[in-house]
Amino acid sequence: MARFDERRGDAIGGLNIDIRSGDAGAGLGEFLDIDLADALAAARDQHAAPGKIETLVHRHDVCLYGKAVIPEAAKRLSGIHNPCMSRMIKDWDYGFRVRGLHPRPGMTAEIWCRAEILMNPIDLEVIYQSTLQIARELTLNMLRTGYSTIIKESQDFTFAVFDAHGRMVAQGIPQPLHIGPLAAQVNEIRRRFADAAPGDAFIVNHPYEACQNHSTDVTIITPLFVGERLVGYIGNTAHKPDLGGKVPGTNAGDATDLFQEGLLIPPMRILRRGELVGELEAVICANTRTPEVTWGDVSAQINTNTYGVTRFAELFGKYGTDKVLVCWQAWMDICERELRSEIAKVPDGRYGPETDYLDDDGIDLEKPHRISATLDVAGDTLHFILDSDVQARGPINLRPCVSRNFIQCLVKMVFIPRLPVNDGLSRPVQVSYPPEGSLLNPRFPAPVNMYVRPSQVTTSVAIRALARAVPGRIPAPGSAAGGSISSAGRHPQSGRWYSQYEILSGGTGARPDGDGVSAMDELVVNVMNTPVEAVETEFPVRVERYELAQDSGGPGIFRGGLGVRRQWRALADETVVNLRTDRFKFSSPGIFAAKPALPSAASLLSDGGAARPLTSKVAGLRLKKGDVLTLQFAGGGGWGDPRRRAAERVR
Amino acid sequence: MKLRVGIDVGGTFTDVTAFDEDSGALTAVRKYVSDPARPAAVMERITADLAAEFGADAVSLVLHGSTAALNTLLEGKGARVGLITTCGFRDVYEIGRQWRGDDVFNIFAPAPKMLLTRDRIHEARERLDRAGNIIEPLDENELAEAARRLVAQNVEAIAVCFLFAYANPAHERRAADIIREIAPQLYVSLSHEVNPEWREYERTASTVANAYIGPPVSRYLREVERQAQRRFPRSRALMMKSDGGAASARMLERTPIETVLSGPVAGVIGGRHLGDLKAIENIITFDTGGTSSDMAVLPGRPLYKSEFAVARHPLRTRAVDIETIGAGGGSIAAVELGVLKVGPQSAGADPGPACYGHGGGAATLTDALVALGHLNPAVLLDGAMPIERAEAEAAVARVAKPLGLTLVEAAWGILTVLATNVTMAMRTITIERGYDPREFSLIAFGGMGPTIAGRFVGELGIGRILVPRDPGTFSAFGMLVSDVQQNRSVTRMTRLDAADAAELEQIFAEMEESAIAELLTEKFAREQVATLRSAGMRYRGQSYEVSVPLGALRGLPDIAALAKRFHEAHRRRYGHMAESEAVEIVNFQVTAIGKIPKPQIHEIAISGSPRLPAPSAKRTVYFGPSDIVEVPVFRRATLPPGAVIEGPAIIEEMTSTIVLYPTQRARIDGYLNVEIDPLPKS
Repeated sequence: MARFDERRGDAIGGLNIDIRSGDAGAGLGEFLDIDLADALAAARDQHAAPGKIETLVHRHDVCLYGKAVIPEAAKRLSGIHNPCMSRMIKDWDYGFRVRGLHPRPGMTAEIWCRAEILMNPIDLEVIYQSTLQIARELTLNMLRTGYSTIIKESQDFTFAVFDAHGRMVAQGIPQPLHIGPLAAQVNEIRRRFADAAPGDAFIVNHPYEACQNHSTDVTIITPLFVGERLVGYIGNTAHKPDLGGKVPGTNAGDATDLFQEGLLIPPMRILRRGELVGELEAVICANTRTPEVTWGDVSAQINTNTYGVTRFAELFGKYGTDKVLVCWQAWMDICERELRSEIAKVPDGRYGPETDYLDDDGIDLEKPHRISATLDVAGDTLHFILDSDVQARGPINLRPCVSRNFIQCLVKMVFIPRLPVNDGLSRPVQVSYPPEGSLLNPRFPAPVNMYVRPSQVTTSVAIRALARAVPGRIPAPGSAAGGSISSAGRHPQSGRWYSQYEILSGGTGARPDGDGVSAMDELVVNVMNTPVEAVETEFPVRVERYELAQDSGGPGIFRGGLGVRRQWRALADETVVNLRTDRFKFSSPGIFAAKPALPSAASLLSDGGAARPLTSKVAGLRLKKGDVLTLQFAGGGGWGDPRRRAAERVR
Repeated sequence: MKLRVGIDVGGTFTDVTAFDEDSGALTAVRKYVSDPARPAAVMERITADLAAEFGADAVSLVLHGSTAALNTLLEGKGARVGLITTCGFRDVYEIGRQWRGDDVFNIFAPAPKMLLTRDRIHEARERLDRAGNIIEPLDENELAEAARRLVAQNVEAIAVCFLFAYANPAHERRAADIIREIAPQLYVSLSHEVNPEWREYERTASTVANAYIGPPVSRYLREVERQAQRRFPRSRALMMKSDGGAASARMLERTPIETVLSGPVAGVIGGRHLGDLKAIENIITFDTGGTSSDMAVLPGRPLYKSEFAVARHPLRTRAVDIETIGAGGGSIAAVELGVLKVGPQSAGADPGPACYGHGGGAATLTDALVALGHLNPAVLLDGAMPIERAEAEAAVARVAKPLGLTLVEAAWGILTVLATNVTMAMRTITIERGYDPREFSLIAFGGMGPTIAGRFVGELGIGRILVPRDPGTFSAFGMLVSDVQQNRSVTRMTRLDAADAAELEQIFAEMEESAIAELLTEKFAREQVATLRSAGMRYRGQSYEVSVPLGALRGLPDIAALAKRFHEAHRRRYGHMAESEAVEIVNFQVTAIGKIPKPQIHEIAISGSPRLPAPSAKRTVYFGPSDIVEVPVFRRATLPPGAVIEGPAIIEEMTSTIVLYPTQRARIDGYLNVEIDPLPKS
């Protein structure tokens, strides 16, 4: 088979596509079909080589003007000469089809394309706003129809739209950590299911086969068709309260391989031509302690996408398919262009390395794990070089597609805060990883369920490297302490299994112009707390305190935000608790001579005895009625030397 | 003469409409310049003018809507507030929901908005469980100590929010008694009175906001009431609430938060009345002024929302569900990254659009409409507002140039982008909630509503536009047709399959009794009072409730019918239902309505087809970048009932301009509304 690598161009509204065929075994007579829908046809070549071919295409209101060139090297290899091109390229649907290339091992054909998209600035605004609006509406639909407290109160889910090439076009209110995996999964579905048809939908949660964060994040992807033509994908990812595994709530802090982390679903069809694949529902329901709630969420995810299909059909119908696709492309290019021009203002050079540590992996409690980041700035590109210790036995490993995406999000937040998030952001930002077998590049089947912990620490070191490059534009690193507590048992009144899951936060880092925000994460965690009144209404616990941890923020000219403290009393016997946190031993160091923040802590008070300190990762802790668990989160990092803090800010 | 006066106090203008109940005629439509710094002063002038003109005994009812509460919040000019919470939960208000919301990709995401500083939050020992049982009694000494500390901190108002107070208000009530003993002059805001529903952060925030606006707004309300009664001894004064009902200053004393969205709501009530008059059930109101567009969908009754945010501060109080977007005559067009954006920034009234000639250089929607010929290129407001066409065109040209567009293309583009923003918002309030806009009529008002409505109705398939008389002051008219309303709500988690009809009936009946009692003290006779019930319902485990109206619950069949109605409502709103799932009632809601007799507007009989008067002028108008037409311009006052105008045409009146697009047809009805058929069959 021919393989297409896309190399993104630096042109306005354009795209360079680098096509290589070269796999051994590609037979004679195979066609190279170059679908240039992205750039909508060929284009102008900066090198302006002789022998270019010009074509004009008029289609609906979109006027395209392009030129395509085959460089000398490619011609030599493939034996193609100029006259041939006129026959090779013809108008094909919305792009061009190049025929007559007979791929042979070692042959390379390059076609440099650059489209000048003449789309009027009014349509550009109207269509993109309509796309964002649909993404927002579907996010709300999901929020309101989800069943579990995770969806309904914590909003731990994300919705996004992709084009036919798997490039993210737009998203609803998101969890930044979901975006990267979602994009990777769309591409995996795209690769595996060439036979996807209208009415199909796919499900996946496999961290290695399709780059999921961890198995309790379940993704539903639905292809978008206009007639039989595939034009894009919509996808959503939502955290599930339970998907089997060794502990209630699934995510075991002491997991040592992937198979202990719950049901694994490789990319599979969940809807075939609109019909639910019932066997899969049965498998999922048989593998969760909370089938009603878990399936209720999956069902809401499927329905939201199905509804989204009709909304996008309206959009394509109204403006014309090609026009919408061109608009999407143009917006990705706008974001890319703006990001590049902002990065270009940063002085070239190497910043870092910056290093931080995770407490432990939940298995070997004595051994911290190093994560570091170095930033190379060169022209209009950024290159983050990540490094880490070898992979952990416990579940604190992090898949590269996850970190790549949140680093790109971070770059967007710093450089082009007002532009939408889409694939254009990924183009000028490169991330490289330590070799396979590292904590930041784990080898199957290394456990990953606590991926948020390394994500936060990776964010922290990336922020510190960026702060050296653009000191006035970035806050100190936050607490990196956000974490979860889950508990499960039988409700003493209803007798049913319940599974409770709460995500709580430390504080953000201090800003160059003020203190950090308490009880908030700066990037990777954006999850609502669960109201005390909702917790007690649904679960057999009493919340005894919910407050800010005094003096937990890192001291500085501006201090870090405070972490929260929550205290629960068990009202049922045999409650099983899992603690999935970190930063008990290491805390945010802050930047520019700040003092470190207070780390996180947890304790258990049982039988009226003395409070016993807990470690940051606890699996399967059994509570009896009356036991009191307290969890306190670290503060954010400070900014600047605390001795220079203004007197009126000291309190 | 028996006058009913509606006064709509806006940020720029205060509109006054007076209706004579005896003759059934509108006797006055006025505009005054607002004075946001001293809102009561404008009321004083208005009442003085009315008394001088019609006499002190002529006025029977003064209704007014005001942005007093809203502006207090927006401008941060509320009272100095203290808060008392359950011990262990002092920081609930500061913590918020640890959610960045729209700031998810803002690395400088702001902290939750607070209307007080942390040092003014104190705790008192007390605790209820989820059912309202007392786990720990209120420590009255601690409460008194907290109150005394707040007094020492010079607060003007104290908010009290205890956990689960909605399930049992005893502790909050006792706290209020203690506070009033210590400091009788302080304003006290109690969470179970402000919003007796679960989720402590939002309830706390609402209770604090109520305390924050309480002292100034209740002062203002009492002042207005005093003025009205001094000028018009035989009158009563009522204030519009966010839910579209009216209430006296006394009724709003403890919960002035109910008036936060009273500004745009009167237009919705006016629209409902107009719909009733013409026997049109499904209507959408569309109110566009200088800064924003307010839209509401009314499938029969208005829809309500129970939570919204003002300046990032969450408020839970019942309000007519009005969608507001930054799209109005002053919306500024700008080029960003090669893309045309319109709004939400507005040039406001000062300097206003470039064509006002007050030095506003930015191109606005108004400038685009002048360039397109939709608005009079010489004067607006019956000559009171001269228009500088050259300024409008120069401003639009500044937008056109970097985009490589012609002047007309850019002007048309500005209208198109703004109309798209409106269309998307319209979709959200109709299709997203399961309502088909093709089954609705659009009532367009505000200065700009009738001018742009014709641009987007076709896209939504809306079958009819109604433009009432004096569209620019229609909101003040809406006040004249409102009723007095009293709401009650409470959270009681109830599984429907285990529910006892008699128990549910009793919860509703008690709430109704309390709400009716309130209205009876407002001198309504029992037979003037009607009640409506609804239940906030969900599938077990969900947390967003769907409001379902219901009647009496006499037994199992009524409960089964309620469940069925919930499934239907859920499917309409969210596209699916789950009949096998357990259904719960979360909130019980009751509205008691004290009916005020409505003005009787007489319909003018139409005989034959009256002759169309000669147009007052002709004007060159663009209906597309290259679609240029010379159209007749009519004065609205000259159009007799029954007159039919084929588009394209322009109809001008003092407070607005109607643009009739090509293929649209207008007809003047017996109430002198302009009724537009966007797609006439023949």
